[in-house]
Amino acid sequence: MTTTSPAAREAPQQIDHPVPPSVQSYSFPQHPDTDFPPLTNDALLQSAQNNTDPLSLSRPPPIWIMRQAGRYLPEFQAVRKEHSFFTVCRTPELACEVTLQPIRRFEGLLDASIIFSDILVVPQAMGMEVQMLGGVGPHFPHPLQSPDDAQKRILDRETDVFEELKYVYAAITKTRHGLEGKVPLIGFCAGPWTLFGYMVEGGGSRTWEKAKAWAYKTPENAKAILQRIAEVSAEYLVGQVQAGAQVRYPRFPPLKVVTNSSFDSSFKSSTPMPTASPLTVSTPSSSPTSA
Amino acid sequence: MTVFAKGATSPAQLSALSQSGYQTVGLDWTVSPRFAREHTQGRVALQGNCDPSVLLGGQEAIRKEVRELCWGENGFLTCAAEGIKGGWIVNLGHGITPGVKPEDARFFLERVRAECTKKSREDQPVRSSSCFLSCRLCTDFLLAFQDV
Repeated sequence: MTTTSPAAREAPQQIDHPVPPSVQSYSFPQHPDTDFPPLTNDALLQSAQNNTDPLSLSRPPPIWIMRQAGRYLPEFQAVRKEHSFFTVCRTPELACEVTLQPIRRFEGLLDASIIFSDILVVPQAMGMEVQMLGGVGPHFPHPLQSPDDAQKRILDRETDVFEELKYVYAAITKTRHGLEGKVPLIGFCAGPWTLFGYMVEGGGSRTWEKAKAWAYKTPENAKAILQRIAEVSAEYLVGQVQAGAQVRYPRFPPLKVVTNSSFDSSFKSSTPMPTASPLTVSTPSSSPTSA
Repeated sequence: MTVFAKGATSPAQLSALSQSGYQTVGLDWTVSPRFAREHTQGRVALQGNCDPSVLLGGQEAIRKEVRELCWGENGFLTCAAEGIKGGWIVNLGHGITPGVKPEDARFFLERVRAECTKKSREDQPVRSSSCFLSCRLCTDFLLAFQDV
C-alpha cells in the first residue's frame, strides 16, 4: 500500500521540462514601437493612465478578467493535460497559445490579454526550486531556513535576470505578434513581500507567520532579501516592457497579514518601480530603481 | 502601471496606494466603488472588482451583480454620472475560478458591455444577451447614433 491520495494516483506527476533550446537565441525586439502589429484597441491604455472617465469614452470601459487564461477553459485544460504547468510557462509557443485562448473564444468582448506565466518564476530565477503540485498548489521543497541560509542562497548569489527569464520575454514577444494588435498585452510580477512569504513558508499560507516572524526577528536581513527581490523584479518588469508588454501589473500580498506600520515601510522600501515611462512600449532609457 | 494589493481596503491603504506612483489601483471585491473613489480622489484609475464567486451563481445572479457594480447606488457608473472623476477598468476582484462555465464568463462580459453602453441608471437595456451581432459592433453602432 502506498500513502498517495487517490487524486495523486490518478494524475501522475507531470515533468517540468527545461526551457527549449529555441529560446537560447532570443533577443529583445530592436524597434518595439514598429516591430509589432499596430494596436487597434487602446481602450485599456487610455483608462489605465486615468485619462478618461468611463462615461466619456468613445467606447465602453475596457474589461479583462484576472486569470482569464485558466483552468475554467476546456482548451486550456487540453494543453495542461499534455504539459506540466511550468513547461507551459517555459515554452513560448505554449504560453502564447494559452494567452490567446480567451481572446479567441471571447472575440470582441475582452480588451486586454495577460501573458500566461506565474509569479513564482522569479524565485526560480533566483535559484529556488518550485514545484506545482496538482491539488496542492506551489511547493518549495527547500524553503529558506534561516538568515544564514538566505545569505548563502539568495544574497551572495548573482541572478542573471535576462538569462533566467528570457523564456518569458520570448513568450511576450511571440504573443504580441499572435495578438495581431487586437488588444494590448499585460505583463506582471509579484510584490517582494509575496515572494518572500512563499520563499520562507515553502508554499501558500493563511497567516504568513514564518515570514512575519523572520522580519520581526531579523529586520535587517529581511529587508536585504526584500530589496534583492525588488531589484530582480524591477529588472524583470523592465525586460517585459522591452519584450513587448504594454501594461505592468505588480501584485501585492493579502495585506491583512501585514500591520499598518509594516505595510507602510515595506510598501515604500520595496515596491519595484521601473523608471520606464508608464504604459508605453518604448525601451526604458535608464536602469530600474526601487521607489 | 497597475498595482493590485488584495486586502488593501482601508481608507489609509487606498489613499497610500493612490499616491504611490502607479496609474491604476486594482481593488478586491470587498470594497465599494464609491468608497474606493472617496479615498483615492481621482488620482488613479480603478480596476475591478466583481466578486469572482458571482460567476458561479448562475446567469440571474450575474445579471444582478453586474448591474450593481455599474449602476448600483455606489456603482462605478453611478459615481461617474455624478461627476466623480477617475478611469475604470472592469475586472473581477480576484482570479476567475476553475469551476466557472465558459458560457457564464461570456454572459458576464456581455452584461458588462450592455450596462456600460447606458449613460444613466434609468437607461433601458440597449441590448439583450441574445443579440445576434457581436457586442463590439452593437456598441459602436449605438454610440454612433448617440453622436448624431
